[in-house]
Amino acid sequence: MKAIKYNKTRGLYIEHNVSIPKIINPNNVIVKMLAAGICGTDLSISKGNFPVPDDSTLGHELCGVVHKIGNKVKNVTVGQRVAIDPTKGCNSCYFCDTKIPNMCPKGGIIKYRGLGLPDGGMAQYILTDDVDLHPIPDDLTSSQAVLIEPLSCLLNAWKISNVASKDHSKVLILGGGIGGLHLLNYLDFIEVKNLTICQRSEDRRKRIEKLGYKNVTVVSDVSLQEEYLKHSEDELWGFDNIIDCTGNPDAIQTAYNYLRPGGRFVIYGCCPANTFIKVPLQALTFKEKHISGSFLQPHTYGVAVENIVKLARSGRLELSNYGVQEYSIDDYKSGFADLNSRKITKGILLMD
Amino acid sequence: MTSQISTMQALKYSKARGLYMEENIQIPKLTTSHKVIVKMAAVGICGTVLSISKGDFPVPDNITLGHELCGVVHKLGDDVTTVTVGQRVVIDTTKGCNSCYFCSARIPNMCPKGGIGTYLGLSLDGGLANYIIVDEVDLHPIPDDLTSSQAVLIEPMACLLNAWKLSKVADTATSKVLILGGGIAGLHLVNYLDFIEVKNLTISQRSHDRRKRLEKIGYKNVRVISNEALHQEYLENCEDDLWGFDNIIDCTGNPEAINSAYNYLRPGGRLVIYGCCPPDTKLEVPLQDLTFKEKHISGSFMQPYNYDPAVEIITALARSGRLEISTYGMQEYKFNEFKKGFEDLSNRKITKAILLIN
Repeated sequence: MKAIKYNKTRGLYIEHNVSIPKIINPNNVIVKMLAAGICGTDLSISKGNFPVPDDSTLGHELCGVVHKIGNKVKNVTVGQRVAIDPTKGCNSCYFCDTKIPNMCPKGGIIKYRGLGLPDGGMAQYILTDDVDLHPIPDDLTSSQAVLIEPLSCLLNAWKISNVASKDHSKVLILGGGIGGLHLLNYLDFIEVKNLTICQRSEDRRKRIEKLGYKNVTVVSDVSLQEEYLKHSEDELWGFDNIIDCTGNPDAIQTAYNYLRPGGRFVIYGCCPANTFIKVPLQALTFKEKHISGSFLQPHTYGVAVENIVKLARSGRLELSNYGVQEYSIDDYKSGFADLNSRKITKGILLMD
Repeated sequence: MTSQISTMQALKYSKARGLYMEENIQIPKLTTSHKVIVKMAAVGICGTVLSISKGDFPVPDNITLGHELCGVVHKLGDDVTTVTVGQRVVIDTTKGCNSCYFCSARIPNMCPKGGIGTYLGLSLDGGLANYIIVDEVDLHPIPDDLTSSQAVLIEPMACLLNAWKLSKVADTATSKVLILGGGIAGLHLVNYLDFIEVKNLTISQRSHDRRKRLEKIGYKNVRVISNEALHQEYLENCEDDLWGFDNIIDCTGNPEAINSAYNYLRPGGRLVIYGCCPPDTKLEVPLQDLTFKEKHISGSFMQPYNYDPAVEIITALARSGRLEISTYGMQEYKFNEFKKGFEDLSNRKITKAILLIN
């Protein structure tokens, strides 16, 4: 079969003679892949900026159809379309016990399919465990299903944000790439009333404005900083919850000033190594502020499936509106290139 | 009983005079029907009050200090129904407006019309005086078997409960908890956490004397360690993701200690900064590490609605024999001996001074 791989010497490449996986234990399922998303992390991998095992097959945002099942598999049947949860924990350590399997030293990133686990889904078939699979309804397209995994990670960030009130809390999303857009779309859908999204580039702001959200203020980083400077003596100006979807240390450092007392800053974006935020300690304490990281997702996949289905059925998942574009697997290079040049926000590789 | 005395003393601070005892102050009179006049019994002097006395913590000029308060109900406004004259009480110094976003979100300590702005002894006149006038709702009765000096520990306990709640410990049996600092806050916290059976407690303390005090108390599940030894352990284990702590609570207010301790967090770990750091000091957080290891950093300031549980906890601690004042380095002084109390605190001879007022 074909698979999209990466190694240090060759970079990103398509391998044509990969063995089709076989059932090994009775809970295994062979899934025939339909669609796999390309996200910013995959782009980083392709540039050598995110370490993966050599010759890993990429792809962690996955939708497929059940092809073969082991003899103890009960939750799916052959021919059923499924979304694939790439997370695994060991289910027996402190971290799995305390519901953060994304931090499990034997699971988490190490066993994340397509990131640490080399058998990603940018291939024609993958071998999974039955517990990884979530059936999806017929009216959800495979490309829409690809958005389940990123939503599951964003749901983690939202949970860590611990918003006090959807009606009254002032929420700021930093960044209008696919992470910010996807989060904005979801928060508007669940009726968070005071949403602001900050996006540096005019093109991306135009895309958001075109989507026509009623409760969303779209601002540039420059105008937001100006507003802050006008109001820096006013304690009531600012945001109760800020979620960074940029991974840009300067944007993060600047936005930290925008927290109101008791405010929570969640950093979802992945910053480069050796970058820092300098947190003023007295104000952190006196104004009871909170800063958290958010990484991958713990047990949020099922809820993400439900929410993607609802978003799609509400007409909120027309992919081209969000800058998402489909490519055939053979055309993977265009997908990565268009993502790199910011022509698109996400590429989706279609296997068939 | 009518008092012949109509004036009182109060311990105040001003920029010009520093710490001073003002004599011949009018005893407060009842102003509205829900006010209560409390005759003060005991007031604690903590690190913040020491900072104020040295000019390091800004307060309104000529403010009466004192926010760790225990007294006796003296006079009642006409509509007061929840306390009676002669009842021993502690005074909750946090107030919110009850109608803003912050009060609605249950953080009245952040209320722009309340919080620090209406805190007795920090922004409004406090309890280091013979009498204080307060609202009925601020009062919490205490049991007869709790001494006034023990009751003074309720306010700091309420604040520590806030820090502990923000710590969001996953499991008191298995989470690894580190307390930075063995001054009165660290001691008070370790005492409480040991009492509620947090099983994996470590407390780091720089000075040998303070470590000795902790060891003398004899906690079974508490490991006492110096800053250097802890950092040494970190250096030996820094490749091991499983080494470290799930919850760290800073009770030092020392930026270097805090910056070092960030490194001691395990994945998913939470650092709560309870100690008050000087202005213009910073914590440098590595961003990729914060995200990839899903770490959390929070500030904890004063307390929201914690007086009821704090009264219960202090009572339980006292009844278990865990609140012998001298064991924790605390000492009582007469009101007029306040200077010695502040000096002994400044010299770290004691961890807290308690002024006995009437």
